[in-house]
Amino acid sequence: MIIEKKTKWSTIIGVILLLWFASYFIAGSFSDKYLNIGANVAYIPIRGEITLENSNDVPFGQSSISSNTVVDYIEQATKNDNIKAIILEIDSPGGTVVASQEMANAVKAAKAKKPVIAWIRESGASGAYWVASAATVIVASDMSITGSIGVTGSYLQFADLMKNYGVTYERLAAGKYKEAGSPYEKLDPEARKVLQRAIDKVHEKFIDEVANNRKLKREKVVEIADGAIYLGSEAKELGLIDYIGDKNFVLNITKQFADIKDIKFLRFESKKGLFSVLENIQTKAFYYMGVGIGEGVTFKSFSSDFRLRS
Amino acid sequence: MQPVKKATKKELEQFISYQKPNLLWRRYVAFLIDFLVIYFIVITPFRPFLNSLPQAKDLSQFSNLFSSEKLASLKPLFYIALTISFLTILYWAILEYKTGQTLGKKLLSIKVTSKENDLTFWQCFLRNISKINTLLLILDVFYMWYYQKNQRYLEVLSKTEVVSV
Repeated sequence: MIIEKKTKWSTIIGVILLLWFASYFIAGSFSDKYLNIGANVAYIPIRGEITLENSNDVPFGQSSISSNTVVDYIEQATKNDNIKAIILEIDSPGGTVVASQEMANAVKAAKAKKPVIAWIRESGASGAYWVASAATVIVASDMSITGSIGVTGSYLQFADLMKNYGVTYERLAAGKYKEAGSPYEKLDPEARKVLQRAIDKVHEKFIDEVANNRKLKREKVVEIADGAIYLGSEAKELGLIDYIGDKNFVLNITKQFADIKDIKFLRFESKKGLFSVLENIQTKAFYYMGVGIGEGVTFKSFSSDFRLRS
Repeated sequence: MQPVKKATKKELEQFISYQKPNLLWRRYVAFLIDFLVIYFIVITPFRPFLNSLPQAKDLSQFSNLFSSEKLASLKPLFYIALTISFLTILYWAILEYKTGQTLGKKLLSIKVTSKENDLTFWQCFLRNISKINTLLLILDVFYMWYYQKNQRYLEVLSKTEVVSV
């Protein structure tokens, strides 16, 4: 009898727990579809370095933002008829040229259909400013870092280091400039010219884009496109941004542009679940085992290959 | 003299349960306990959705109800309500089938039995199907007040009854 009673209690508790898990599981599967009912403004954060793909560098944070992801978010927000405006919350030092251009193009396409408000927080420099410049309006704090209209292709070069350790680099390549920018040999003046030419072209393109997007005279943009950063207050005077303002200002201006009374956000943020965090930690742990912790720590923030960044 | 037929254990249980005036009240209290359980295990996970749905005041105006935005939000409301109802029925049906008792019934010492053979899952499912909708449940309970054995309509239909343990 006692056993029967115990069994009954365990069955009751078991079924309650089972239904509880089932409810959370089903509610979780509904979240993407139904949690944003009534949303009228898309909120898309652009935080960290702009890259083509997401990186797993920081297990408990996000060190970079992928253009694939942001472009997808912008396109979703543009297609959604309930969304009347898009807010881009930018806190990024820039990133790779192609990724920045992809994002800027997506913003331009969205701007043709609904207002896009770029809100620069701490930093919206270089490639991130390129993205912001494509928006309908740019709002920043007077202390925000903007501008930095320039291009870099700097990289680490190990030729002397390798020589000291008796390591030689066997060059096997067809084409004079095929290995221009290799970190294992010194850059000769001709190869430098080739790389610099590419950098200059990207710089010209960057200037054109900013001038067109911001409706500024090209000469004026050329003057300030020396890679220098500008604080929000300076950027306002130069015409690089439209308004100095905080969150409330951004919300008010969004209401005006979208012609809506209240804002309900549809937030486009990549969620980091426990499993993805654990997966990142595991991936990184095996990565460091492979390449050696020394290299992983020392050169983490430097690039050892030639790559254009804006 | 004709031999006296001994009552079976089940018949005795039924007899005792019908004579107990407090059985109905125990059923009400058991239902309230089960409803609290349902609120925490089934409704709470769906709270974020219910909060994001249009408020009742938004839907009070006839014109608002038929605006495209509000209509679009009614579809998920339907799916969520259906899911909650289904999980709610499962709570009663599974527990009554497996143990004859839900948490509330266990605490109030009452249980569900079949009037015929052993209790089947479909009997349990059928007797609880009115819990899919509040109006249906009220009608079901109304029937119980006017029925001599204090049975809900679906209990009659499913040939089940609630007795004291």
